[in-house]
Amino acid sequence: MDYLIDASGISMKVPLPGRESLQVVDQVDLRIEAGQSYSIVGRSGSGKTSLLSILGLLNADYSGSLLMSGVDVSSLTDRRLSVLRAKQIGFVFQSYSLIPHLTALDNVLLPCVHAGLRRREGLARARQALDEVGLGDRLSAKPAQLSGGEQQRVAIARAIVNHPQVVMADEPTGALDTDTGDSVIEILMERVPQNKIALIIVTHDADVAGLCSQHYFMQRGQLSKMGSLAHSDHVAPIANAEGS
Amino acid sequence: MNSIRAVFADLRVHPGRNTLTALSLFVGVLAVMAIIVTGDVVKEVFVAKVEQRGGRYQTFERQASVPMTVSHQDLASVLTDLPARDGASVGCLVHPETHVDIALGPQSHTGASQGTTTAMEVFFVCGDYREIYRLPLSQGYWLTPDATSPYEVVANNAAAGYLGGPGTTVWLYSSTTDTAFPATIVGIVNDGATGPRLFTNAMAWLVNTPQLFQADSVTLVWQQPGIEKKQVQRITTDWLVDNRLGADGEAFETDTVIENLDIISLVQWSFSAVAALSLIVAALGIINVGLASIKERSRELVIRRALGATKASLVRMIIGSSLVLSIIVASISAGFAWIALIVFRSQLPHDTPINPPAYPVSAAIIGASVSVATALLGSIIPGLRAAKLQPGKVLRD
Ligand SMILES: Nc1ncnc2c1ncn2[C@@H]1O[C@H](COP(=O)(O)OP(=O)(O)OP(=O)(O)O)[C@@H](O)[C@H]1O
Ligand SMILES: [Mg+2]
Repeated sequence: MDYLIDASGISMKVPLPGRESLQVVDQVDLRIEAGQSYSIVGRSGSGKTSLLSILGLLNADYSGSLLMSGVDVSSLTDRRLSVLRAKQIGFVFQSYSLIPHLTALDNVLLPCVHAGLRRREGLARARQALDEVGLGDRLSAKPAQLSGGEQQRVAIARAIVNHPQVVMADEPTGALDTDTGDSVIEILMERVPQNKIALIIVTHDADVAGLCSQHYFMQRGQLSKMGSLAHSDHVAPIANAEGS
Repeated sequence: MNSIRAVFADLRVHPGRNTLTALSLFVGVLAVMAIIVTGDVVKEVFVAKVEQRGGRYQTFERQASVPMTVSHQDLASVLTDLPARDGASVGCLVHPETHVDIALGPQSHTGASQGTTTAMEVFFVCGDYREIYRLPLSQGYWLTPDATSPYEVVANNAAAGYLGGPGTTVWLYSSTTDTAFPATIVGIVNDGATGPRLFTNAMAWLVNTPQLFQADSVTLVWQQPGIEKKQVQRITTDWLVDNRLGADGEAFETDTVIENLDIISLVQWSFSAVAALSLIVAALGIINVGLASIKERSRELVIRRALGATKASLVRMIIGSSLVLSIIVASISAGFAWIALIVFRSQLPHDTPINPPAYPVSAAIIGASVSVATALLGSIIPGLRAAKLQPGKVLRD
């Protein structure tokens, strides 16, 4: 069976003016399967967001091989990549990245529009997705009229509206209090067994990481798999540092 | 369907800015049309004034003396048979030897000198006189061409001011007659002249009242665009000789507008250039706004890219919305100009010698093309920039 995502030897350098270029992602191998959840932890600046942007087809400046459902994405045109982004991948950005002049409903509708869905169908899906994140009564609110947690939930609704196979969440709870964070994570987590999606969560929160079925640690661009979170000394200090 | 919706949604993002953009295009396009129509009207007024005096382009006059041997009866029958030619209008004026004057009552010339008359010019016309000179009627009708018709006169505005409108009886007399002869004003024309003038049918007087005056000479008026002077000379000479009228004169072209038209077109062109410049200024402003807005909107566009918008769909949205705006503006300006023109035409006095201005189709087309071109220019670069945005940028800001 093909993996949803099969990445091997993924590297990315960013040029720094006047200095040696920076190895942001370094020889990463990662296989993502349906019905699994993955946590990626690591210090700030270790390359987590960069890796996610490659896996999420937002960034093509990498080397190595990246297959999605067995298809080499480097061979795909902009149109095909866009379709994959719209239909197969749901992305929850570290900053919420909502469009300020659009209502919650229209923000959630965007991936449907770009996936070429009929408007009626898209609206039904967007309403349902907002319902699922508990914002069924705030459809016409603009982002500025929503709290941080509510904006984050709109962003999650937008990520799941097209029933993607993979959802990537970049610190979805970073700016939220524990209770709000928990409810947000719950929305994402319950889709893993329910809809057989793969969920990748980048987080600083050991509790959130603990909910996942597989755990990865990132350090200076390198990704390593951790057997069990309990025996790891990587997460705790970071989580503690966050808490203090 | 989705892209059309996206285009209209895009226009609603900045209603204020889009309204201003539309307004500046609207003003620019209308300015071009207004200037072109104004130029046309000014030219038409000028041409009309000149043609009221000198005849339509091209008009030639030929003076011919009437020998004593030619009776008024003969002259009348000669004048009913003016030389004809395809494309030519031919008219004539009969000049009395003695001055014919007008009174409001049946006085003789002696009685008439007591303040009831004014020095009026009486034109004894025949043939296509009215078609050659622009003489729009404001009331009544023009002279009946039939020589047996009752005596009819048509007054110009100044003469009607002294004498009265249609239905008024006036009396014609000269120093050679003891009695005055009645005629009825049947119409009022705008001939552009400030002095009082009356037009009457030469034939009617020649046939029915030969005693009013002795014909001294006739002026043949020949109007035919593109004809040469020597052709007119030849045709008229043949006709004059055949009819025993004096043929020693020469045909000459009346003052024509043609040389002055060059100057008018020059003025028109420079006006159009000013209008075009204003349109270009509007266009540059719009392009500038277009470029600035992309910087401001790049965040939104990057988010759209990250959510699966293709390069092409963003380009379509950006170029499309500005194109749609410009097409709306072009249609509104065209419609507005059309209505304005109808209003303008309805305000023209009905005896105006000018032809009412036509809808400036070329200006409308130019204006519409410029506004569409502006929209394209103003959105192609932003569109291409939008296409270059990396979706990965969504992660760093
Ligand atoms: N386009 C870029 N230009 C310059 N530097 C970059 C670029 N992309 C990534 N970097 C650098 O690469 C490193 C990794 O960045 P990345 O955003 O992936 O870290 P992260 O692990 O997500 O950190 P955080 O936990 O703070 O979000 C950082 O030092 C960042 O400055
Ligand atoms: Mg990050």
